[in-house]
Amino acid sequence: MIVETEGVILHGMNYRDTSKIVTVYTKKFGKIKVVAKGVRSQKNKFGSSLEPMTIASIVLYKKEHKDLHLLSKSEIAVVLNRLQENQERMYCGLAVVELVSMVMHDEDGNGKVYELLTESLTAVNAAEKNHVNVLLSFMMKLFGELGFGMNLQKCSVCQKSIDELDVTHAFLRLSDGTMTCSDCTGDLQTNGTKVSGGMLKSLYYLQENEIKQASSLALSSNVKNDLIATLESYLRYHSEGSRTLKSLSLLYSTQ
Amino acid sequence: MIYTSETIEQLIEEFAQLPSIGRKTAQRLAMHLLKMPREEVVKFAKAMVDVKDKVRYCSVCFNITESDPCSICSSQKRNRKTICVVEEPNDVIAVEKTHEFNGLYHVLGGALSPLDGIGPEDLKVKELLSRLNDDIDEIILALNPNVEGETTTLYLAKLLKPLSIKTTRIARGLPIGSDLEFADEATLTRALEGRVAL
Repeated sequence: MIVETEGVILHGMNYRDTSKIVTVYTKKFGKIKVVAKGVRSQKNKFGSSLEPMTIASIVLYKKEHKDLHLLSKSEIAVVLNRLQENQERMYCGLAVVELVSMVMHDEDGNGKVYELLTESLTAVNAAEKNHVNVLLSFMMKLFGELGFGMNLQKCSVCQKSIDELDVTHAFLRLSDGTMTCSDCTGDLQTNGTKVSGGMLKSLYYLQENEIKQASSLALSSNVKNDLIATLESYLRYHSEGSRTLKSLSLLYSTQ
Repeated sequence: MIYTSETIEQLIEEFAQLPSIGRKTAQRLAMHLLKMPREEVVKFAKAMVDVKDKVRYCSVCFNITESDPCSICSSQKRNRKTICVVEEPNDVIAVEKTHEFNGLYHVLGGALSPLDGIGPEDLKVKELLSRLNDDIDEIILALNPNVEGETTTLYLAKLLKPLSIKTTRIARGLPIGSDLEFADEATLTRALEGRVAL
């Protein structure tokens, strides 16, 4: 069956002399693998549209009951030229696709995840600073889509809204993503990860606002690192087989 | 077993393990070997064993060589002030074919690929840094124009910046003989960025 769809290139692997096996997160079919024959030869006209982080329009021959399909055409759908301009942009963009590649199952289409993915790459491309915030916002929203979103709106014990709370710290329970304020728990670390009041409000901002607004939030390097560590441990708790994002390790190794 | 000879079957199995060789091609190659004169087959087998016994990596540039250091690193005719950084030994051959570069090389042994779990510790980055001294005037980054190559270029550029050595990269853009109308947006953008005054 010949089908046309839009997709984000997640990963490419060389295959034979001039071909590639490309993993694409498509709008219609979710994460699929396609063979792009002859794509590495110089005569090929769509090589650059199959690089990771590219949003492409693709035509493929989709084989029923097979997990490898044949790509017949690919074109860049959205030009994201600035993604490769500097390290932070590049590594944050790569971390976004790495995360999707890691947590999404094959051939499990989810239009909302596709939307979040393209929105995030576009936001990383457009942002002048704080590119890591875009990744954090993407993670928060992705968790919600996958069914284990955080519930930070109010304290799970006293039910006080986050806007009313004026706490130095709170505890984030990994098992259900709920938050308990320090007034309710004191200093005792019961069954959650301790987060500062600032971190809590930042997480809530990133979860509730549009991805493109994430870069306007000013965070210190320490808070950013703590937020990433918290979200990564939350992801590890809920998603079997997930690991530390290699793209982010690379970003921090050069800072 | 399809063939009556276990030896042929074994040979087919061995050929089929090579990249780009399927079982059908492996069968054709095995049959061809069977028809070849014995001395030709011995020569072929010797070449394969020799490549494992004699070829090694140059301890300076990590290109493949039979003598250490390699002929390029030990040559006094080469410009020792410029180092061209490439991903694989095949890239050295490609640059050498141009006859435009007379400096030294450094083969990284791949490119950074976070998506495949390949980090700086898997490449010859430390070895590159240890080669850099006051005598080096320029480092040319000649890496593949893909995301992995770009990631490596950005990483090395940041690492080399404090050393105050001129660091350049090869141009990206349209291949000679191609048509502008068929070029994709990404390539054409790079070509426009790298335009030169006439």
